[in-house]
Amino acid sequence: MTKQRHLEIMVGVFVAAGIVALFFMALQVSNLGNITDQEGYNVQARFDNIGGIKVKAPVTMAGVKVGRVTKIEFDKETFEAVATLNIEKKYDQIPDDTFAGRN
Amino acid sequence: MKSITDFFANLGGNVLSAVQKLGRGHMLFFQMVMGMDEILRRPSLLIKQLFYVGVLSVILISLSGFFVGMVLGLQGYYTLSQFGAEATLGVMVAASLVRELGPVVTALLFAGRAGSALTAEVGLMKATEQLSGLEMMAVNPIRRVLTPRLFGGIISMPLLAAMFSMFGVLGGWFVGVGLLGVDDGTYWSQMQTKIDLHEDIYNGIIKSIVFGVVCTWIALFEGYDSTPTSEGLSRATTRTVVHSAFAILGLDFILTAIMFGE
Repeated sequence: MTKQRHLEIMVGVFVAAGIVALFFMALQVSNLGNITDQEGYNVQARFDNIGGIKVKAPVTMAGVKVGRVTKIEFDKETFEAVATLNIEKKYDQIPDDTFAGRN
Repeated sequence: MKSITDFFANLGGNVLSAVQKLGRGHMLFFQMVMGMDEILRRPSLLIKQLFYVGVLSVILISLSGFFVGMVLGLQGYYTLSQFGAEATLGVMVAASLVRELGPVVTALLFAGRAGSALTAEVGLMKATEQLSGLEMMAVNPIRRVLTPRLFGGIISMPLLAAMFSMFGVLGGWFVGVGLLGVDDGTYWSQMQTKIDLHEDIYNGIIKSIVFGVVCTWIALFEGYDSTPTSEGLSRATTRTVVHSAFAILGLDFILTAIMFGE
């Protein structure tokens, strides 16, 4: 009986350590901490050429990340690329005449 | 003329026996999975296997992960610093570990550490007629002996792979930040912006579950299907490690192509 208990304790520690490792991967290594503020609001930017921009690329203002690119489409009427940018909620004071560029 | 027909007879015989073996393997897998209710009825069987398959592999996996991470840190720093990109060391270490090295190296070590032990154990049970003995007592040996081992392996593998990756990331951190002077904050923040929870981490876990199923399945089947002699057992153990390694590396290519290929 005590041997069985010893086994159970060791297995319990093993499973707990494995779950801790999974949480470590999720919280410390991946971007889970950053995508919690997913809501924000969407704006669209039109480009003659989208260049190397990919979905999930960061959107920066003055070099600071303020959001992410969530969708890239082609407008078949104006022949432009339309990128949907998700801007974080806390940056809601961006002036109307702001223009987007890619770098 | 005789030698030509012999050639075709040999070829046909080999193909037929390979197909038969494949069939027996799938039958066994099906029977093992159908015996799942046995581990719900007797969880102590599963716990015992989790101990032998999982707990006893922890030290090997953790240490290997740490060393692999340290090598990645050293080698990555050497390459990246030539482009002045040491800041992305964390991304390189974490991406290689989470996507590829974690699941694959864990599975290879697992096949050598636990898979060969499973084959030897089950093969010896067969050779000493313990499996037939169970059958004589109206106990289904597949459900009683093999099913808990299969699920022990399937549950252990993702946990072990996660530990491997975690210790690898810490090993890379130890070398990169501790010894080579990469900035601590940069190491983690670069990693966190580039590594995606769904794309990288979930896919890595799925990989390790697939490898867990395949490795344990191969080990148990080779043991169960072995010729019950000392020579047959030694061959079965060798086949377990060789076939597992092939299956892991081949499947890894296929899974990577499906998951990360665009």
